[in-house]
Order: sequence, then structure tokens, then C-alpha cells
Amino acid sequence: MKRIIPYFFILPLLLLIFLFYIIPAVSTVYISATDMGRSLKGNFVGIKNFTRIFSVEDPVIGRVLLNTLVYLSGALIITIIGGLLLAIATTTLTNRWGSFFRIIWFLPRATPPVVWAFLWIWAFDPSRYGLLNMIFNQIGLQGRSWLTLYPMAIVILANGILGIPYTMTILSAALSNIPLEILEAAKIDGASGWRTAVTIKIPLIWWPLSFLIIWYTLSFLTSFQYILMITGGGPFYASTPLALYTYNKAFQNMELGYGSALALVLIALSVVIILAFRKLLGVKRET
Amino acid sequence: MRKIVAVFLIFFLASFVLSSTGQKEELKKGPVSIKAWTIGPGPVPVLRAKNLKTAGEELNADGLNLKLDVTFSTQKFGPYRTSFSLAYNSNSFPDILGEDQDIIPEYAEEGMILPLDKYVKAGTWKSNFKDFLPGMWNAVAWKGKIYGIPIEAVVNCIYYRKDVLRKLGMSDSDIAKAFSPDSGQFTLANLVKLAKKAKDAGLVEWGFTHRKGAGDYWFNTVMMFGGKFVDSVTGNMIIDTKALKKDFAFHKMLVDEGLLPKDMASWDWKVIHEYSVDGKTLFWIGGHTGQWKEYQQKAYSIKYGKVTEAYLEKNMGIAPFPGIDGPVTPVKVHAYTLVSKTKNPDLAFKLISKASSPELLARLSITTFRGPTRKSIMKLKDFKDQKYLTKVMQIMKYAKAFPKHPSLGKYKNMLFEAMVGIETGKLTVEQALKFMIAKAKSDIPGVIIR
Repeated sequence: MKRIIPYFFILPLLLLIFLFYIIPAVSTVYISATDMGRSLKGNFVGIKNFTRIFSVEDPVIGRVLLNTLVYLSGALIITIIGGLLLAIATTTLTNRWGSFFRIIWFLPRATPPVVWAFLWIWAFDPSRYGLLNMIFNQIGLQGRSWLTLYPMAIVILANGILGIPYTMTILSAALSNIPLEILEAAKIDGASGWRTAVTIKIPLIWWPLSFLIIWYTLSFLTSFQYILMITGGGPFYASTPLALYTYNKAFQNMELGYGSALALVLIALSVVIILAFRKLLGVKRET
Repeated sequence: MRKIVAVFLIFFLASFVLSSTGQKEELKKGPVSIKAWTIGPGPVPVLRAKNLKTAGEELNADGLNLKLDVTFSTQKFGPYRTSFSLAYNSNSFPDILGEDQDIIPEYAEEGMILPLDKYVKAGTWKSNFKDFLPGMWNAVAWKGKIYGIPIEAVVNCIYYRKDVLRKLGMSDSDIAKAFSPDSGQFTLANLVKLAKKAKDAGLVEWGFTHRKGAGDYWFNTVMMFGGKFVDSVTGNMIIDTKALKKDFAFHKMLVDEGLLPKDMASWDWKVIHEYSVDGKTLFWIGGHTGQWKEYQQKAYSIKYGKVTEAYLEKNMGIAPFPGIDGPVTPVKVHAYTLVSKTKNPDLAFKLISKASSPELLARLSITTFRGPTRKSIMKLKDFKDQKYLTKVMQIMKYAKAFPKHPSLGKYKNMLFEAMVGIETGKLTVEQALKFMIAKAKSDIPGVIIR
């Protein structure tokens, strides 16, 4: 009886995992082998959906994969470097000022996603009502079609900046745990702020930093809601990463079979990138 | 002889009494639930739902016992259709679905909606059937079967600014002539010339503006260049390279000449309509006749907010598209359809039949300023009193049926991407055409490249 009781307690959780993870995952694999459409009924088509992807029969697949890498790299760099710099800066200040700036920088995270997206749309609106164009007009410059000219840069910024608050908070906590005597010893030895950051602080927070890199890699690979709202992935696929393309195929064109195949490719790509990062970053928690 | 007549009368009376008792028995069972979904988009066509409610009330007054649950959705068509797909596979599916004609083939192929031939072609419905305008039944048919009752016609058109043209020195009769399809002056080349003149004179910011996002507009200009979408023999979709090339070149020319903003497809709707209603663009070519009503109900104008019918009458006009083979007015039909899983198809049909009466459809046309679908609507006084609807009828003379095919949605999305590529300068005409061909081969089964 004693052996059974623990299983009884974890049963609800197992059921939830089965319902909301195992069943959808298996369903996705099944659907990817069908031509399921709007009626949610499909015929078995084997690996046809995958050959359509890998034979580059779909003319935008190459472009979409390249966009995914550009978007991931750009957003990740902004999130990690921005969060790290802010964490170092705010932990260098007094507690009161450090907290004040951390709260200010946390505001984007506290903003509802739709509001955040609309702020970016408003800022870069091509008409004279757009914030940037208003400023340009005030100083006598011609307004620009920002979303058409720099769609990828804008979605990278919008997503990258949104990652900064969380990164800053985690890294600030990690930096606060560095023993003061180590930092004071460095100071006595004449180490500059920059050198202290590079040779002492960053190595000592390497584990949380690696965790954040992997966490945000997964997040940027799979999330697309801000891109959908800000640029819609356009113009002409210029800001469409694989996650958004998968969504469009599955729910705009109602090609659920092909969309599921793309989703599986996205998962495989995520696994490969995560494994590469683990190796590259040497992610091993010291015991 | 008397005996025969007496037997006949008794038989007739008995069958009448029996059938009445049967009907009463049916009514004793309690109300029959009928669920209906209709869609805007926007608040104006809410009568698509209200008409069903009115019809239900009338049927109940006639002795039926219907319990109606009508939902009017202001969602975009994409989410509305996704909701329907999910509802169809659960127990929450509606019995009646309001939809545009372009999705009917897809639903019909998937068996999600019912063919209505046995109802609309029945003897009792014969006069109704004949009352619909030419082309209406064809618009809601797929593979020879009728899948809906057409309730309104979305009449795509060009809006032009009379006030700007007057400032260019044109008299009212000159303007009327320039936009009269019979005058010989109504050509695409002349529209472009006028746009250039107005722009050069600083009277407008843009010569042409069109809609944002993927939508009907992109088909309109292909139709204007004589493009075909579906092969009549095989039923497969066609990539009409000749028409597409002309269409792409036309849009590229407009952007290169500074007559159309290169980022037009990403403009906000509010700004698009502001430019149209305030005369900052000479031709608004992305809309339909219903916007005449919308401009009176929504404050798009910076100068006036909501505008009056008199303002519109004085400053704006509507015209068909000047096609290469004559004027073209692309017309898309909106219909009530019956969902194949409905348990009460007969009652549901009775309801949509009642909701499609000339009086109720006239109410719909007058409210939305979309085109009528029945001949008898045009004879009703309320309809005839609407001066603007007479103009709508005039351009409906050049009606050309909107395409329909199960893969039309995919075609629309790829056409939109190609056109955005052209307008933003990311694609040349040749590259856009190459993209269309490759994408169609990948996404549309059996596509014919012509």
C-alpha cells in the first residue's frame, strides 16, 4: 500500500501531462502524415508533407529558415546582452536606485502583449500619425515606411527588448549572490569595473546566464504573436520565421497536415540548437 | 358522380385533419432549437442576424415552435471559419451558417454544408427561385449543386472624388462622362492620367489607394485584366500568367509614378478610409458600395467626423473597374447555408427561406448599401427611394462573378504576398510571377499554369 500512495499523489499531474502534452504531441505526429484540412478529417499521405519541406518544393521555406536564424540571433543578443548590462549596472548602484531602475525596466514585461504590440505599431506607423514620423515631421524630415523598410529589425527589437526585464532580474539576483569579499579583493588588486565584470562576475553567474540563453532560444524559436501583430510577417515574408509560417499554414490556409509537419521540423530544429548550445556553453551545474 | 365527389371530399378532409393533428403532436414536443451563426465584418451587416430572428418570430406566429439562438460575429473571416471548423467537430455546431460564396466550394467538398437543391428547386419554391438575379444561384453553387440562399451582393467598385475633379477644371457633365462606361472615355489609361494630373496639381496626396491585407481587392484587378481563376473543364485552379503580369505591372507603375504608396498594404484601416472620405486620394479602389453607408456611420473624416449622404453625393461617386474587355464590377455573394450536421434541415430551411423574403432582404440592402439579390427587392418602395442604391444597380449591370474554388484562400494569400513584394520593391514583375507559379505548384493541387 505504501508503495502505491506516492503514485496516487502524482496521478493527477500525470493525467494532465498525458492530456495536454502526450496526446497533442502524438496527434501532431499523426496529423503531419495526413492531408487534414478545414473539416479536421484527413487522408494518410505518408511523408509527403515532409518531402514538400525538404525538397524545397515550397519556394519560401529557405527564406523562412534564414529569417528564423536572423530573428533568433538578433533577439537573443539584445535580450542577453541588454539584460546582463542592466543587471551589472543596477547591482553596482545603491539598493534604492538599483531597485528603482529595475522596476522601470520591468514595465515592458508587465505590459499586456496586445498593448506592447500596439505601442510598436504606433511608433512605426507609416502614416503621419506614427510616433517616429511625427517626430521626423517636427524636425522637418520626411516620414518613412518603417514597417516596410526595416520589418525584421523592428520585430527583433520588439521581442528582444521584451526579454531584457526577465534576464535582468535573474542575473541581478545571481550577481547579488557573489560574495562581496571576492569583488573587494579585485578592487584592492586594482581591477577596473570592466575587468571585474568580464573575469569575475560573468564566470560566476555562468549557469543562470546559460539557462537564460537556452530558455530564450526556445522562446524566440516558438513564439510569434508580436510578429503577427506588428508586421504580420511581411512584407513578402521579410519577417516571417518558421513558427509564424507554421501558424499561417495551419490556421490561415487550414493546411493542418502540412502545418503539423512544419511544427515537427521546428521542434527538431529547437532540439538541435539547444543541444549545440549546451555543448557550446558547457552547461553543467556544479555540485 | 356525387358518391365519387363525396368520397374525395371525405378523404381530403380526413387527410387534412390527420396532418393537422400530426403537426400539433410535433409542436407538443416542445420548442425546436435552431442555432445560427452570421458574420459582419463590422457592425453594419448585423441585420444578417436580425433578419433570422424576425423570420423566426414570424414562423412562430404562424404556429411553429422554434427556439432561436442567433450569434452575430464581428470577427474577421479567418477566426470565424476556424471557430466553425472546431464547432463542426463538436456538439456546438450551428444549424445555419452565414458565409461568403468563396468558402462554399471548400465546405461543400468537405461535406460540411448541405446541398439545397431539393428545397430551392421544389415546386413550392419555384417563383422564389426565379426571382433571384442572374448569376446569384451560380455564385453559391459548386459542382452543379446549390449550397446557399444568396442574401446580399458585395459589389466591389471604384470610388472617385468629384470635388478634386472639379478643381481640375472638369464640369459635372464632364465627370459623369468620364465615369460613364458607355462614353468611351472610361478607360484605365484615363484614370491614371487624371490621377497624375491631380497629384501634380497638389490636389491629392495619392492618386490611388487600396485595401490592406489579403482580401477581395486583389482579385478585382486580376479580373480587370481579364484574368481567369478556374478551368471550366477540369475545375482546377489556373495561374493566368498573362493577366497576372499585367496586374503586377500596373501596380508597379502606380508605385513608380508616385500614384500609390509603396506601403499601402500595411496602412491602418482608419487612415485608409480617412484618405478616401477626406479626398486625400483621387481613387479609392479597394472597397465596395457598402462603404457609402459606413462613412455615414463611422467618424473617419478628420474634417467632419461622420459625413452626410449629401456630402458623399456632392463629393464622391462610384464606378465599375475599367476592364480591358469592358467595365467589370466584381460581385461576391453572401449567403445563408445549412450545416450538414443539422438535425432539423427542413425547419432550418424554412427559417432561411423566410429570412430571404424580398422585404427582409430589402431591409438588409438599405441598411448595408450592398447590392440586392432578388428582382422583387427592386420593386419595393423603400428600396426605390434610395437614390444611391439606384447607382449601385447601374454598376451591377457590369457584374462579373467572383471566383470560387476550394483553394481560393491559398491563391488569395499568395497573390497578396506577390503584390506586396511588387509594391514594396522587393520583387520585380518577373520575380513575382515566378513566385506565384512556384507557390501555386507547391500549395494548390492540380493547378494549371496558363
